[in-house]
Parts: sequence; structure tokens; C-alpha cells
Amino acid sequence: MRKTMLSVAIAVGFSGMALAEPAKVMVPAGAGGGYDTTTRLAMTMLDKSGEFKDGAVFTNKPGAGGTLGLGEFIRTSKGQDNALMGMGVILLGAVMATKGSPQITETAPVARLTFEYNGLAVPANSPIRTVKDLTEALKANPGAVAFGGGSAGGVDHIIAGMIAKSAGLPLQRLNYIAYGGGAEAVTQLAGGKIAVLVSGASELKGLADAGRVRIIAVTSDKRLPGIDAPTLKEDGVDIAMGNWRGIVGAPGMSAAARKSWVERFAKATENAEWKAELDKSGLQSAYLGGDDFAAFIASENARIRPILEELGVAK
Amino acid sequence: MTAAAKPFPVRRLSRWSLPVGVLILGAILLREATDLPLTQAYAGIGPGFFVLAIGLVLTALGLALSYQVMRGAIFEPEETEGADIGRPMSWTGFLTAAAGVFLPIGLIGHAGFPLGGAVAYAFITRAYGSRKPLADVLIGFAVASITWFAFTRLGVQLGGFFPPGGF
Amino acid sequence: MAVLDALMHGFAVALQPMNLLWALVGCALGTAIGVLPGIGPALTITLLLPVTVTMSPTAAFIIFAGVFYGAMYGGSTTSILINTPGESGSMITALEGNRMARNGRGAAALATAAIGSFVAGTIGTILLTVAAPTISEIAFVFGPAEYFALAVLAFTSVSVVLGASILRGLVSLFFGLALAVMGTDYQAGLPRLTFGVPELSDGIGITVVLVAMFAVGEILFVASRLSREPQKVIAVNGPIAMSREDWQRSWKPWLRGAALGFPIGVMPAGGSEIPTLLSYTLERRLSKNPEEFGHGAIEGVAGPEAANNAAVAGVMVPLLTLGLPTSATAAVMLAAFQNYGLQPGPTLFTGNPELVWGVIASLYIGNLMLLVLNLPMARVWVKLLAIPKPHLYAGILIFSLVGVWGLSQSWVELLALALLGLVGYGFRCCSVPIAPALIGLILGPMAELQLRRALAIGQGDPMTLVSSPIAAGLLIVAALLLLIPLLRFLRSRRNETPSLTAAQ
Repeated sequence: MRKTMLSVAIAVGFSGMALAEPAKVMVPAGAGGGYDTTTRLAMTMLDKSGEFKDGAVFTNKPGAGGTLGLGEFIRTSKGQDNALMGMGVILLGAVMATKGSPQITETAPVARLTFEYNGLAVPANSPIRTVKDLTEALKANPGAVAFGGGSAGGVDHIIAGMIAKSAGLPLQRLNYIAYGGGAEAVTQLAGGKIAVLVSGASELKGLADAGRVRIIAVTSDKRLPGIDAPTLKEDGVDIAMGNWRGIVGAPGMSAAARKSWVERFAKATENAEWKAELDKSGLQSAYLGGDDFAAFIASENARIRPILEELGVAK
Repeated sequence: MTAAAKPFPVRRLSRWSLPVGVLILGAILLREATDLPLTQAYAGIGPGFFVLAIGLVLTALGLALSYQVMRGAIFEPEETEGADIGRPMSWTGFLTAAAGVFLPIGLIGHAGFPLGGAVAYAFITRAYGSRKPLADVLIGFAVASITWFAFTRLGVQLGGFFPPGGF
Repeated sequence: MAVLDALMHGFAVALQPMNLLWALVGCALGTAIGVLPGIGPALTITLLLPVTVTMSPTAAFIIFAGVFYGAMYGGSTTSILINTPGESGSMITALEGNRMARNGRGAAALATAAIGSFVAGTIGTILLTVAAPTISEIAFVFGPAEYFALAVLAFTSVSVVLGASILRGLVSLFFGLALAVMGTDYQAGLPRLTFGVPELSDGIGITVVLVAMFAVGEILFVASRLSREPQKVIAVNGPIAMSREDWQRSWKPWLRGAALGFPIGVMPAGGSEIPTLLSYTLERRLSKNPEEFGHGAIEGVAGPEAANNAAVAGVMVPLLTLGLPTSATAAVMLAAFQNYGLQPGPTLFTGNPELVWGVIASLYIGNLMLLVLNLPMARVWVKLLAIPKPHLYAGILIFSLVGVWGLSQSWVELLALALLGLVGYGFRCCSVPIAPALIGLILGPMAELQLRRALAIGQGDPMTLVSSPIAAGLLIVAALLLLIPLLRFLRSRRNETPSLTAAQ
């Protein structure tokens, strides 16, 4: 029943001007979460960079991995040029996992905004030192490798699945332990309760610098600054995967409106303040606009589906 | 507070409401557990396990309570500030207050928060012995409106001030 | 000293003008609700939960902590002046404090309560400062098995200690657990007890349950058994101060009260009621003039009031360090943490030090503010008691509606509010305690998650649950808590004629 539709109206651009028609922004997650902060930050940046100063009215609608919010967005905002929704790779997985879920393809992709890369970490005293050690251990006794990460069907789960697959392991045999929050999982990793953890690289960094956990790989294309660990590719596992977030427009949004939203976000994400804010939470700016973003969503869908199906998450 | 007063016990028939309520709840959970997988790879216990366990314990508790009631146990109401548990229950007071609690379910969505709140307010004051309904509706409207403004200011959205579709 | 360093950073946060303002708001609000009978800190914080959406976590918790402490201060005023405890932790204060007021010593009673609360609250906060970081290191030792055992201990202790009967305590606990399993299962993604209603797919919101069972249940119950006795407020003459003799008779009870309150507050299900009772008994025994007890002995006010404030500081220890609520108010604060996506516990100290230490520092400041708010202004607060009952309870309903409607704007939740309110009414009619249901609802998901995690890591071997000494020890204590009263009951039944009241 926690349909927590925290509709919170904040007038973003309030510098004495009359509010024209504010943007209607759906956030298919609770207030304070990743989608919520990224989406609100992006809208604030539109205002600060002068791209869109008519304000924004946010509606938070968490539930069923974001598919409840997606459904409401599609139902209530058809053809509206000022209706937007925050989303990301986790929503793609949730759509696959939820029976009868509405599809992302019904919406009009506007822009990818951020990327967050993951790291793979083990307890400081673990015998596992490289990704190769990890795949060997998985092959030897998959049940003994308690593989921690975020909620079932999320990016962490997908990455764990991809690694297990590269080790030739049937994915049903992966002993995946889902955690709600990265902080709790990292603490349990440091205490040696789980064997290995996939989590946001920035969440791992604190305890890695304190010497309590060891990062054995990062999931990005290139090495990440400030983290002394190879990429998965360097270790022979050909995967680059991260947690990205973006914005889509209402189904049936006019081509002109979509084009102007794409341009606004393109300019707003060049703002230095935007990058500085993202830095604080370990995110990278990763603008990709319009049709390129639509193609990216399609390729991510194609990549994720088989993994989630084999993990038993997608239906 | 009348600490010395002897609590007025629940009537004979109502004594069964607690055990029966607990048994019904237990049955709902047991029914649900049959639809859920009880086991899962590695952990051994699946999504149905907790549901089954809670259902079983509730059933056991319901039976134990039934035994107590059969043996003549009387469940006495709790000491509460402002309440005199030495008196029998007043249905008028209860139903009037309940009306104040149930009416907003439909009203707030259709009539807006301040109006829905005003009606609820008047019912509660009536249940608590006030005999000035008109004044209470007005005070209620004022209280609900002030609350509406204060919380809207804090960023909590309570819908429009007036009914969504106009009067 | 790392702790001192961290605390100084905390003060830097707490002393920011906005945070000072929030502390003042929290303290004033807490005192007001403490003075008003019928509204407790748990309910107040619940009703404030929606504002967490727009407020930073630090500001929100500074308010909440102020409410928690303030309620204890305010509760004593009501106890002393109208012989009705504003809070359950002030019950004992009413015994002696009201007598003192009737003997014309109300001013001294209010003073010893306020100053005692300040002294003990500050001592408690110092102990919290010292103890918290040490306890939080435990987190690295705690794994799923230990957390599961901890939850079980919280479950048993809260149902055994609170309320009139263990059986009904367990009924309440399992009612809460049943509500807790509603929604989508976290590990497998399957819907449970949602009856096909999409609004139920994320379970029942904690706010709805809290507001329904506390506020709505209370409104219905009091309406059905309305007391016709008018409240009499005793006037206080002269400045609120203590004589030299009052000081001499008060300072030891303050310290003893603090010494009792803090450790008991730390314990699961310790709460603030038990230490006040113990402190009263102790002061009576130690007093040079025990004949004064029952006729207005100042020690009987000083000790218990100190104890309940120190207990509040104690309750913050397991909440902040382990994420374990030991009272209804703490349970609501845990829910607030979860609203922010924060998991109280050791990771909070490493991940959000400015939050934890900011809140701890604001407790020091809050105590000082409360002393100022309560000593010279006690008479102002008493004016709140002039609000007529009909308007007081109707106002509570309005706030409850805001709390629920503001979170969801869904009539389904308003319906749930009304129906669970009826359940809360039923609980009161049969003396079923409400706190165990809340603990079950809030800790239930944690218990299930950790149990399934522990078993998955141990590949299904149930022995992993007792393989560590901590987990085994916690489970044994939990079992003893449940078994000892049961054995005592069985023995008493064998020896005497069956008496059901013993079982209840």
C-alpha cells in the first residue's frame, strides 16, 4: 500500500518570474533515492543554466522496481510535451522482471545523463586476489562463494551473472546475496561474512582506503582515477557495465518538443556545477541524447535480457 | 484519571473477538503460504517460509486465547489517559468518532483536504461531547486550513485547497 | 581523542544557525506534546515523517531528538500539576510531584524535575558519546546470523516485558510480523499477501500503521469511554526555584537516577518506565525520611525524572549503533532513517559521521535549551492544558490525516488508516500492547532478510545460525526470556488452584 506518491512540488525557477507551465516530472522511486536525486539535480541544472526556467513539479511513485511509476507515467501523460520521467538501467531490469509491465519503448527517450561504475571487492585477508582467482573459486564450488550485491535484478546482480557466465557456470548455481544498501553490504564484506561484493566503486573506496577490503577489479572501460584496480577486460572478462540513469519524455511527445528537451539537457550537462555535484556522489556525467540514447536503451535491453532470464529474474 | 475504578469488563460475546480475530488472521496467512514456494536454492527457505511460520504461530496463539476465554478469562480494557475504563462502552461515542475517521476516506479526495478535515473534525468534537456543530465545523476548517498551509509550505503536497473539480 | 574530535565536528554541525533553530523547534514541540496528555513522542515523530522528504536528514533527526527529550521534560509538568502523566515515563513523578504541588510546593517539584532532567540528560548524553563508537565497532563482527539473533531477542523481550500478558504481547508481535510480510518479497521478487491490489505491492507503510494504531485507536477508545471528570490544574505560586535544602535532597537522587536510567535504556525493551520505577523504590529505601513518601517527598520526583531522561539517552545507543529500536519512539526514528535510505548501525558512523555526531551534539544543546524552556516557562506550557478535550482529539485526527494523505494522496491508505484504527481500538479494549506490533512490523523484514541471507551463505545449514558465540548467546537469552515466565506459570499451576490471571 505504500504507493507513496510523494508528490512534492518545488518551484525550481522562482526568481520572481511568473511560472509558465512547469515540467511534470515523474520519479518512479521514493524520495531521496538515486533516481530521485539525479532527476531533481538535472532539473535544477536546467534552471541554473537558463535552459528551462519554468519550474518543475515532481511526483514520486515507488513500487515494483519503478514499473508502477512507469505505468502511471504512460497512462496519465500521453502526448504531453512537458511531461518527463527519470529512469535508468534498473528500470529496464524491473520491466523484464514484472509480469505485464508497461514497456520503456512506449516512451520517448530524451537523454542519458549519468554513469556510475562498479567495483568488485573481497575482504582484505581473502585468498582471492584477482578476477581469475574468483572465476576459479566459482568453478570449484559455486555455493561457497557468497556473491553479494544490490537488489535482485539490479546492475550488481547482472554483473555477478555475467562474471559467473564467463566462468562457464550455470547461473542458477550462483549464490547471490541481495543487499538493500551498499553501506551494509560493504561492512559485511569487511567482516568476512560474504566472499565477494559488487557495488558502486565509490561505496567500496572508503573501506578499501582504510585497508578493510580490497578492490580486485572495476567494471568500466578504462581504469578509474583514485582506484588502484584493473578493469575486468584487462583480466580477460570482456564486460563493461555500469549503473546509468537518464530522462525519457511522455509517449507521443511531439518531435519538436523532444528535440528541444534533448538540446536543453545537452547544454545543462556541460555546466561545471553539474559535474561538481555528480562528483560528490561518485557519478560521472554521461550525456547521450535523443536517438542515440534510444539505440543505447535497445542494446542494453538485448544484453541484459538473456542474463536476467537465466538468473530466473526475467519472466 | 480514575486509577481506583474497577475496569468494566468486555461483554460475554465480545470476549471471543480477540481469539477469533487472531485465528482468522492466522488462516489468511496459512492460505497465502500454500501459494508461495517454501524453499529456494542455497538458503533452503523461500518466500513462503515466514508466511507459513507466522500463520502457524498466530493459529496457536488464537487457540491458546480461546482456551483462556473458555476458562473464563476476561480481557480488560487498558488504562488510558482521559478514558474512564470503569464505565461501559458508549456506542454513540464510538460510532460518532468512527464516522469522523471513515468519512474522510471519500471526502478528502473529492472535497479537498480543508473541507474533508473540517467534517472529520466536527464529528470527533461531537463524540467528545461538544454540542456546537456549526462552530466546530468552522474551527475544524480553520485548523485544517492552517495545517494545509503549514505542511504545503514544508513541501508536503496535500492536493489543492479547494475540491479538485470545483464546487 | 578521536571521539572528542568527532564530537567537535558534531558541534560545528549542530551550532549552524538553521540546525539550532531546528533543535529549538524540536524541543518546543516535544515539551508541548509532553504536556498534552494523549500525544506521545512516537506519534509526533510519525506525524512529522512526511517532512523528511524536503529536509536534510541531519535537520530532521535534530528535530526528532529534541521531540524525544522534550517529551520527557513536558511530561513531568503535567504529572505534577494535574496528576495525569503526560508520558508513560512520568507516571511515577505523578505520585510524589502532585502531592508536593497540593502542599504548595509545586514550584520546587517543577524545578527539581527540570534540573534533574538536565543533569541526567547530560550525563546520559556523555555516556552515549563515549559508548556509541565502541559499540559500533561490533558491526564488523555482526553478520546475518547475529542480526537475526538480535531481532529475535528484540521480539521476545518486547513481547514479554511490555503489557499485561505474554500471550497478548505475542499476539501483537505476530500481528506486526503479518503486516511486515505484505508486499513484494525482496529476495525472490514474488508478491505476498497483496490480494492482487497494486497499491499493496510495496507493503503497508509504517506511517499508516503507526498513526492508525496510536492516534486513531486512541481517539476511538477514549470517545467510547469518555471520562466525565474535569481536569484540575493546580496553580503554582512564586518563582520556580529550589531552596538550599531541596538542592541537598535532590542531587544524589539525580545521579542515582541517571545511573539506573542509562543502562536500562540501552537494554532491549528497557524503555523509560522500568528505570523510573526502580529509581523511586531505591530513593524510598535510601531516604532518611521515608514517611514523607506518598505525601510529597522531593527525592521521589528528582530520582525518577532523572532516570527517565537518562533512559532516553540510553535508548539512542542501540538505535544509532545497531539499528535496533528498543521503544516505540526509537522504532519510529528507525523508520525515519529508512525513509532516507540510511541504515542505522556502524556504517552510519563511518558513512555519515556529520549526521550521527551532529545529532549527538544537538542532544547536549537540546538539553540546555529544554532547561531554559522549562524552568522559567513552565506556566506557559501549562496553558496548553486549557485546550478543551473535543478540540484536542479532533486536532490529533487532522494531523493524522495530514500524515497519511501527505505521503500518498491515496484513498486506499485512508481506508487502511481507518481499519487499522479499529484494530488499535480492539487492542486497547483487550489490553493488547501496541509496541510489539510496531517492533514486529519494523524489524520483521530485517529478521527475515538476515535469516535467509545467513542460510544462503551457510548453504542451507541451520547450524550457521548458532555457529558464532554472539548469535548463540543472543538466541539463548531470547529463549530464556520466553521460557522463564512460562515455567513459572506451569509451576504455579501445578501447586495452586488454576488461576488464569497469573497467565495473563
